[in-house]
This record gives sequence, C-alpha cells and structure tokens, in this order.
Amino acid sequence: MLADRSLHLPPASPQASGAVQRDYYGVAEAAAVLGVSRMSVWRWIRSGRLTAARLGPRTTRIWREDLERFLAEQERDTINPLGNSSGGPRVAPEERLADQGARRSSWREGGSADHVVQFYETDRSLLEAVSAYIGAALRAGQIGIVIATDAHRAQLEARLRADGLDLEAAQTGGQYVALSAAETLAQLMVEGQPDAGRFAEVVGSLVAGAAESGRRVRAFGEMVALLAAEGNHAAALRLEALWNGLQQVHAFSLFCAYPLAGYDQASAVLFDQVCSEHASVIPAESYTRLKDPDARLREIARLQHRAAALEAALAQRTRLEARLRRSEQELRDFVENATEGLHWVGEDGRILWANRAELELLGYPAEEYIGRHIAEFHVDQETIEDILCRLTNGEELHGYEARMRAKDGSIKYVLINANVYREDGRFIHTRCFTHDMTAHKLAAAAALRLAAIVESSDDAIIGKTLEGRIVDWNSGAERIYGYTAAEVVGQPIALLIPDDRPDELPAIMARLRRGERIEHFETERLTKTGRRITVSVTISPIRDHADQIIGVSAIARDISERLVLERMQRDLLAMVSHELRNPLTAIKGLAQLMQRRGAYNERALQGIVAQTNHLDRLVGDLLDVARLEAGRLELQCEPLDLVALVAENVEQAQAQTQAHALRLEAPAASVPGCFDRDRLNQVLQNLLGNALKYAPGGEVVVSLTTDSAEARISVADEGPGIPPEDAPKLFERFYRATATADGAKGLGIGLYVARMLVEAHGGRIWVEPRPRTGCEFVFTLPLGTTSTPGDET
Amino acid sequence: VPAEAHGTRTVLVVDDDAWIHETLTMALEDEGYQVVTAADGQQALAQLDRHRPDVIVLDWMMPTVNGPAFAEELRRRGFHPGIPIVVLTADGNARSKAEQIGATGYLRKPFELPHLLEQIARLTHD
Repeated sequence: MLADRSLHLPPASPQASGAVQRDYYGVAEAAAVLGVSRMSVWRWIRSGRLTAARLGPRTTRIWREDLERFLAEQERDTINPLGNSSGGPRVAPEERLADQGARRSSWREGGSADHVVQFYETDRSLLEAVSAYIGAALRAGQIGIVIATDAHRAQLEARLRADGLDLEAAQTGGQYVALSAAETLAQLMVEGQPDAGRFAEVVGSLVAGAAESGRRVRAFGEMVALLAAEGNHAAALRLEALWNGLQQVHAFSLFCAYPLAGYDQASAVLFDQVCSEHASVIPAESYTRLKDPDARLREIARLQHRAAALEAALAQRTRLEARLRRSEQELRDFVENATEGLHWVGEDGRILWANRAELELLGYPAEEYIGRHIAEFHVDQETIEDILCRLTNGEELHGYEARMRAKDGSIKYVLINANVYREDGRFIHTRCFTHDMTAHKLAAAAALRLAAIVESSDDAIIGKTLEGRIVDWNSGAERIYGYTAAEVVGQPIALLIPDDRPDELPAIMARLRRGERIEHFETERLTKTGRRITVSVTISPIRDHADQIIGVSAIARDISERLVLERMQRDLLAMVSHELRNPLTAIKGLAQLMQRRGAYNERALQGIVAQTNHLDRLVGDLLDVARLEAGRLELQCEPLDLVALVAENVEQAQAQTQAHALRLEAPAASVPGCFDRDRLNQVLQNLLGNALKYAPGGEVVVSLTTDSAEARISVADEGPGIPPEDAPKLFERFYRATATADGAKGLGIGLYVARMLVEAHGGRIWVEPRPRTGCEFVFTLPLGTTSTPGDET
Repeated sequence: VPAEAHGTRTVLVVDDDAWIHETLTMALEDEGYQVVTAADGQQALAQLDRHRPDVIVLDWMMPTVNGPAFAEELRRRGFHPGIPIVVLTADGNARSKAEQIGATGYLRKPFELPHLLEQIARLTHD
C-alpha cells in the first residue's frame, strides 16, 4: 500500500470544482478520491481504520476530517514509489484531500499482499521509487526482497546507503535480500517459459521464508521486465501470474517495474495484460510528478488527445504504409517482370542489378551476370567503352545500338536507352534499358537482302494490289518498261497492257484471287514509248501471316530479244543451208553436166572454181565469227598505205560490175599506217560488195580523208538506203536487211565481222544517215604518231 | 504463147543463183528444152507475160517474192495448178513444202541433175 505525499483531496462532489469544499463524502466518492475500490473502503470502515457515519441503510458518510486523518495515518505507513523527494515540502492532508479529484489510480496500500506495477521513463525515477519502497520497509523493520538487474541493484544499494541504511546489517539479519534478476530468471526458465515448480523452489521458498518471520514483506522484481524486453511477452505474463499465485499463499507486497520505453504499438496487448495482472498500476513519472490535480487532469486530457491523435496518425500511417508497400510492390514487380531488359551498372562498370527480361535475353542466371563487368557481355569493346564514357560524362543515351553476346554465344542486337542516377552529383548507378531488336535487325537485314536481290534483278519485279494498282516497281521494271517508280506507283497495271488484250487482266486477277499462280505466261506489254515487247510473266498471289491474299507479285522478263535471237538462229540455219547448198548445187550440177556430155567444158569448170571460192569465203566468214566470239582473232599488222589499199579494192569491185560506176576520192596521195592488210581488205570487200548487191546500179563513191588522229573511209551508194530503225542493228550478228531491191544474200555476218575487225584496229564503223536515197557506210582507223596525213594533201 | 506453138517444151527456172541458172540452162537445152530464167518471183511473173512454160522449177528461198508467194500468185492468176511445179529447197523439209503449195515434185539441193531431168521429162511428156 503506497501513499503519495503529493496527493491532494479534491472536492467531494465530482460536479463541484476545486473551489467548493465539501464536509463529507459518500463511500463511492471516498473510493474515487483514494483511488481504490468501494470494497476496499468498506473493508477499512468495517475494520475501523476509517471512521464513517451510517445515516441509514443506504447512506454512509465519511466526514472530511476523518478522511484526512485516515490519509495522514496511511502516510506514515505508506511508501510512494514515485513521490517527491523526502526533502520536499510537506503538504497538509487537508490540501491533499481538497485536490484529490484528478486521481484515478493510486499506489496507496490496499493490503500487505498488494501487487503494484510501476511504469517508468528514466532509471532515476525508478530508483527513487524503489529506494523509497524498500527503504521504508527496512526502516519499518520489514523485510525487503530485491530481484533487479545488476545495474539497478548497485544503484539502489548506493541510494539506500546514502539514506543512512545499514544494508550489511539488514542483509545479515535477513531483512534485505538482493538477487540478480538475470540469474534468478535463468533458474526459473524451462524451454523459454518460467517453470512453476522452479518458481516455487527459488522465489516461493524465499518469500515463504521471509513471510514466516511474521514481518511484512516487500518485494521488488524486474524479471518480468527482462522477459518483456526480450519480447517474450507470454513468459512475462506467465511470470506475473506465478507471482500472483504466490501472493495467494503468502501475504507480501510486490512491486514490479517496466520501462515505458519497452512498449511500442505492437505490445499494446501486453501492456493491457500486464496492467490487468496487477492490483495497482502506477503511471510513469511524467504524470505522477504533477502535483496539481488540475494539472493532472489537463495532462490526462492532453495524453488522451495525444493518444487519439497518435491512434489516428497511426491508422493513417498504417494505411500509408500499406499503400506504400503496395506501390513499392507494384514498382518492384514492374521493373522485375517488365518485358524490357533493365539493369544498373556502377561507376566501375560492374553490373549491380538486372531484371528477368535482361537475364532471359542473354540467357544468364543472375549470379553469372550481376557482379560482372558489363563489357564482358558486349561484342564491341569500343562501343561499351563509349557508352560508359558518355554516361559518366552526364550524357543520356537514346537508342544507342550495340551488340551483346548471350551465354549460348549468339549475338543480340540491342538498343540502349540509359542515363545515370546520381546523389549529390555522385555516380550511383546507371538506369539502363536494353531493348532487344535482334529479330527486327535480322528481319531488316533479310529485307534489305531481298530488296537488293529484287533491285538488282534484270527482270521486272512488280508488286500490285488485288485491284491491280502498282505498289512496288524495281529497277528491272524501270529498264524494261521505261517508267520510273515515281511515275507508275499508284497507277493501274492496265497502263502496260495493249488495248487489243482487254480480257487478259481480268482473267489473270480472277485466277490470282482464287490463289492460283500463273507461270511463264508469254504475252505482250507496252513500254512507256508505246513499243510492244514480248514478256514472259510469272504472277503469284502475296499472302499475309494469316494466309490472306493481300496483293500480287509479277516477275516479267523481256523475251523480245530472246525471241528475235531464236528467230535469227532459225533463219541462220536456213540461211546457212541455202547459202552453202546453192554453190554446192551449182558445182554438182556443172560436174554432172560435164559427165552427161562426156566432154570438157570451160564454162562449167569456171563455175565450179568460182563457186568453190565462194564456198571458201563463206566458210571463212563463219570461222571468223567463231574466232571473234571466242576472242581469238589476232591482227597481223604491217606498215602500209591506206590510199593504195583502198584503190586496189575499188578496182577489183569495179571489175565485177558493169551496172555500177565506182569512184575513189582520196585527197591525200598516201596515208601510211600500220594495219592488217587482209582484214582491211575483208572490210572493204564487204562494204563494196554490199553496195553492189543492194544498189541495182549507179555510182558508188569511196572517199578517204584524214584528220590529225584518224583516217575516215566511207562507201556511199545510190541504192534504196536503209530504214533508220534498222541502222543500229546492221552490225549485229546474223542481221540481214529486209527490204532490199536485189534481195538479201549471204549469211548476215558480213557487217558484223567488219565491225569486229574495225574495232580490233581501234576504229569505229557506222551508217551515216542519208535523208533521201542511198546509204553511206563509214569507218575510221586510228593513225600512228609517225603519220603526217594532213601535210600530203 | 510462141514456144508451144513450135512444139518445143519450155521450162521456167526461178532461182536467185546465177550459176544454177546457167547450169540448168545448159543441161535443159542439151535435152531440147527452151529455158526461161528468173532471179525471183517478181521476175518470173514478168516472164509469164511473155512465155507459157510447161514446167516451172521453183527455188523456195528467194528475195522479194519467194517460192510460196510466187505459187500463190500463180494460183491467183489461174496458172496453177495448170502448170506443174518442181520445188527446189536447200533444207530438209522439201516434201512438206511441195505439198504446201501443191507442187508436183520436189528436189533437195544439191540435187542429182539426172533426177531433175527425169522429172521434167515425165511432166512434159504426159
């Protein structure tokens, strides 16, 4: 039973403020004033310790002076563990009674078996309370038992000695027993819980021994506080219960102390349970220090407000924490499970963290990636050096292309977006996004390859919509049809189709829409200039991923030339048969004629010889073509005079004809040069022969002129001439002019051979356009540096 | 037509090769034929204005108006199939070419001179 010397009795009526003094109190009011139960008051009244007037069966009054007296008596026998220092001013009981209204709990002794819990904020307060509690017991000749921490025990004993108590004598006399809380607790504990048997053995026997002496016993214990501090709340409560049980057996007063700092929100339940295990609860010193009841009320109100505010703040904080946790969880999930590779690299280039996508991209488990230098995973060392250098210098990277090597050795093409997280300007780590574009890169490379193939194709490759509108147009198409892509993209493909084939396109499109493919379809198309060409077209439907037909591809090859060539080859065979067999026919016929006549015939033999020579030339021409095409023609050049050479050929040609008049115009007396005589004769014979063959008669003018670099020789006749459209083809192999007056005879290789021979000499050959009639063939021959053509004219 | 009036058989040789003209002329004249020559179909048509041949020896491949074109013109003018034709060709399809224009005979160049003379004899003595 503890008394507070600072207590002041309040006005007896709760409604009355401290200003009104009451003369008497009811039992309930007295209990409230004393901070005890009404049963305690009744007990004191019945035992005669507290005087009360029974005014009726329901009315009991306790006079003010009786209550004050009771308080005074109690004070003598009471220790206030948290009371002011004994040196403080003593307050009259009347005052206390008058100011007692604020008290709701009290350490007033209710009996020798009281179980009080003291909360404290500072060790100093605790020691003051305990030293008063134990000191009063020792001074009153009672027994004091202390089971405290070693530190508290030492300080407590120092205080008691300072208060003039002879502890050694008290100990010797069994009046003072001090035990180490930790050691004693250790003796009680079995598997983390205080054992009832051991408690009875260790503590019970100690208390029993003290109680048997007949003296009052006061005990102070801190073992529960130790358990609570360990977080072993169940054990603390269990130990409190054991103490309570012991109090049922032995009458002793027990004072427990818990540091207030030992409680947090989580131990609120423990706090309540600890309080309920004790008969009396003494608040910590910040409350008990207040003397003024009004101040105490204000403090309670303040504490209530603070508690409410803290509860609210706590609830708010709990909500915020939950939200924060959720938000953090979401963020963690986002970065950890994002489909984009993410990593952090420290300033030293080592990988600090990487998410799942990054690890999966490269195929490494985290432990083989994190902690390694990022450069180990890059294919191009200068690239990663550049990246780290830029980041270190504060640059941000956007879409930086790099190649990384996966664990399986494959190369990953990535786009890096990164910057650096800094604290106070210090490089903490990079924020690096690694975007995998390998598939895209490979697809793009494949697309580029395909585009290059399409573009380099000689064939026209055209993409069209199902409606027949052009969407793609390669350079082959440009070459074949003459339109540029810019001109035709967006145009209907009908642009290329001749008017006389109106049904072709609808039929083709209908087949394509049915998914059919049209292969090597030979047809005619119109070029930009309106020229008809023969093409072989393969047309296929283009399907998307879902196998839907979304367009049409057409690959067209211009087979006009091939057809011409094929026709030319057919014609050539016929021509060769005709040209070779005609002389053979004449030879054979002339020979058989002589056989029939059985006589020598000069004319027949002339014919045989002439036709044999003709055959020889034809064979020679064919062999020349073969040699020229095989690149095996070799010129046998010698110094000669072109004027003389041309003059000889003109004379020979004139000898063959009466229908033509040949004339040589050569301003120079001589034009020396180095040429293959036989080959130049061949060229001249060909040109002169053509003139005689194609022009039925008239003049044939051969001219030889020179300038500083070359000689120019031309052969002009008065024949029907050459249609301009045929002019470029004249020098092609197996080409024969179509419309000529005297018929086309020969293999169609003469001009081709002539061109090859002129070009072998370094010259050129062409047909001069003639506005009206006749034709003029011209060829040039380069003159050597030693020749001086102009001087000799 | 004067040649027929004298009972002499006339052969028109249409070929663009001068030496073939000369060879056939000598051989046919040895056999008593009158020979008329032309270098192509056009000249041959001109000869028809002056002569009425009993047989035409026709080269297939000629400039300007070739063998088939000439045969068609003959048909148009009513001379063919009245006048038998012997086709001369340098390639292997002599028979089909002969049939194509309804020719009576054909020879592949270089032909056997006696064969030609036999065919002409047969055609002129029927």
